[in-house]
Amino acid sequence: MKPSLRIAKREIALLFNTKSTFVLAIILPFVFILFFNSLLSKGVARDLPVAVVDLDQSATSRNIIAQLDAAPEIEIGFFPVNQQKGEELIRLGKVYGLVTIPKNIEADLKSGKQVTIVNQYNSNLLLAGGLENKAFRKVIGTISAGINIEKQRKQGVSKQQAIINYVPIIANNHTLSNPYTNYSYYLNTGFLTMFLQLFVMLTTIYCFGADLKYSKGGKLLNITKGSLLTIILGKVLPYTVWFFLVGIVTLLSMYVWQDFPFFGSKLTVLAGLLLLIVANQCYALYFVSVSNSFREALTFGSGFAAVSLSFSGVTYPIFGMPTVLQWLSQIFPFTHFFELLLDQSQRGFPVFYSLKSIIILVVLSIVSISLSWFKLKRLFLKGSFNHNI
Amino acid sequence: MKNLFKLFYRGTISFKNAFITEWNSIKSDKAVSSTFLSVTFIILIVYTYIYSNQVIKEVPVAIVNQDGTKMSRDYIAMLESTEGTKTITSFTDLKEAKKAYYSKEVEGIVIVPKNFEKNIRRGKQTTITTFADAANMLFYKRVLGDVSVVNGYFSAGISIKKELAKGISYDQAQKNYSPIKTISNSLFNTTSGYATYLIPMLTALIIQLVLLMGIGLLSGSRREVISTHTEFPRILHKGGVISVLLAKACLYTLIYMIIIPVQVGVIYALFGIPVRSSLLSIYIFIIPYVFSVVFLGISISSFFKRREDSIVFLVLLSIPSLMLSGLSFPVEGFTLFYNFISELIPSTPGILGFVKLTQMEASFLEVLNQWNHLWILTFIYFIIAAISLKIRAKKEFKLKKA
Repeated sequence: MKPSLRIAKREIALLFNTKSTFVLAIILPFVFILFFNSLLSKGVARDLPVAVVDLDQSATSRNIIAQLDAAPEIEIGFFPVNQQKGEELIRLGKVYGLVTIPKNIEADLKSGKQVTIVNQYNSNLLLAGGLENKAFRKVIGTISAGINIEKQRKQGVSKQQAIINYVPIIANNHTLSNPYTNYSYYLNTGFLTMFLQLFVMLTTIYCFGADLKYSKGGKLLNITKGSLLTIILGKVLPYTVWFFLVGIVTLLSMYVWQDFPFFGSKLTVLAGLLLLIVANQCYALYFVSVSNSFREALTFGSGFAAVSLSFSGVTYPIFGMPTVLQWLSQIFPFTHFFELLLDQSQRGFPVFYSLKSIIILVVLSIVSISLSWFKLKRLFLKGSFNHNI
Repeated sequence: MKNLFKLFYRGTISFKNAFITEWNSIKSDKAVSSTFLSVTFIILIVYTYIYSNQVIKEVPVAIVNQDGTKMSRDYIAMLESTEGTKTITSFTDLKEAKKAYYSKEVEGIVIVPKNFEKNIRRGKQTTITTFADAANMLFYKRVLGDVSVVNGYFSAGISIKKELAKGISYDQAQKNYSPIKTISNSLFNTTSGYATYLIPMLTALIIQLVLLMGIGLLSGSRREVISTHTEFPRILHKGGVISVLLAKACLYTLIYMIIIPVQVGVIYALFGIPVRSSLLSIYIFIIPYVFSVVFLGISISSFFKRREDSIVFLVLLSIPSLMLSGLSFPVEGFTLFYNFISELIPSTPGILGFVKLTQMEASFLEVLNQWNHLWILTFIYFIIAAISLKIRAKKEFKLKKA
């Protein structure tokens, strides 16, 4: 039998005999696919609790409250007696915002005076606070527009002209890529693929680290008659194939099961997926080669893979980071894969614009494996890590 | 009575021993001490640095100006002056703008239509068309938000000018235009800064991550060399686990009493993240947090055979815990099942309480719910930890004997 096949066979046998590797490589990826797909299955936040202090207690104020309540984003759930109690509710985390309707609002509106409605919202919770404030402004804006138009009509302006007078400029907004502004589309694309590469990284470090921890490096070299390439191919390729399948399941879970928008080239996405897996395996080998112990390799690898989420721009665009970090973000394979995935799925860009990402992924793989080659060779000749800690 | 006193006396001795043994293991295990230092400080600094610009400014937007009149240029100038967008006007048609969008030179496109000025002067409605890319929510919000604001102001300006022509005073015209004025006060994180939002959450999450990792590593290595029962001999006696568990929890709490001031005092100050609570209330709050995490760590560490296993599984757990805490995506969007799961993880009340204390000006009474929640978790995990530790010690005792 060919030595690389023997190594591969041994690797697969190890996988099924070691509980932790099995759980890590086979079971957990699917647990995470299920977790993220079901956690944000609603995708759009609805009915965020909001408190209203109604100092007027009139038909008008009740009408305003009813209209606020009718906005899909918010639900009026609390009526504190004064602003202080309302602010307490915000601090307790029971509501995301507090709307205060002033005294005499009905009388003032009737006599043509301008009134002020105050909204206090918790912007420490960026998403929820932002949604609350947006809904508030929209509802009150509509009510205010209605009053303005009503006034004009009383002066004899036609309804149509009154509307034009009020809004001479109509906004025609097209939401590209994610037409429902669904958070699941936005976050899960990042989280699911980020976890896939985390699994690739950890599994690769695991399958090399576990052998080197127990000084099996020499034994492996014996099997392959001293060829490092054979060891790497034998150990890594089965996982490349496996994670490619897991990756396809991940993509199917998003684009078929959850029906995320997909307008691009499937083939390019698959090519990107394969390159992401290979690049991560190369990086994993690099971390193994520079570490003094199994534990150290895992710490580096997991830290690198975990932080790549932030560097990819999912949570905060690369564009907004300090310049040094913008450069640094380019060495993370995930950054390029994520760009490719978004371009080829939601954005539906022509394939040409994704070639850059593909080339960079190839370059990153080649560079990282060449950097680690000689160190790995030395490591395997030695048979084990420097330390056991 | 005498027996009880004896038991207590032995307990305190064992507490002291366990405390010292655990401290020595932390000190001598390079991996554990470096995890404590590197993750608590370096990772926190890296993350804070990533988000340190707080808000996105000057997002490039392509403008296709089909009108080319003064009014259209006024509109564009108004958009340019917003904080969030930067207008690029070198595009003659949509096709060119689209190309720039494909190559990521711009994040959105705004079209000012032909006859923009003419229609407005004639009292006809005119349409501003915006394309904003929601593949990245942050860009989307910024672009659309700014365009909406400018549209609103521009519309209002035109209406008010018309009123002025009729001889109505500016003040009155402005009041007529919007009978109801809205004032939005953003509380706490007034600029909606990203670092201010994320970093307190991460700080609290890192407490859990590091503790679980450290405990997992230590317990993994004790398991590898079968030394749990020799390092903590009292475990095998009746009630002996209690003092060992308490000693460990107290030790880690003390360690955090030193780490927290450095994080909050130095790193927060460095990046300008506000702290709105006294150190004392943070201290009181994190006691049950650290306790419950330590006991949780001991409970789950019995699953880890090798010391490295803990790192892998805990890193994987950390991001879901952050999601489940409900601060990144409101809990109202979760199913009952996930709400229940999240209640069992110490980081859920831990993060919430920490954020409320340090960011939301909450008094201690206002985090009492979270504090009590943590004590309940402490109690639950204490029992599980006691049982699992006892079983393990007995197993190892037998193994060593055999």
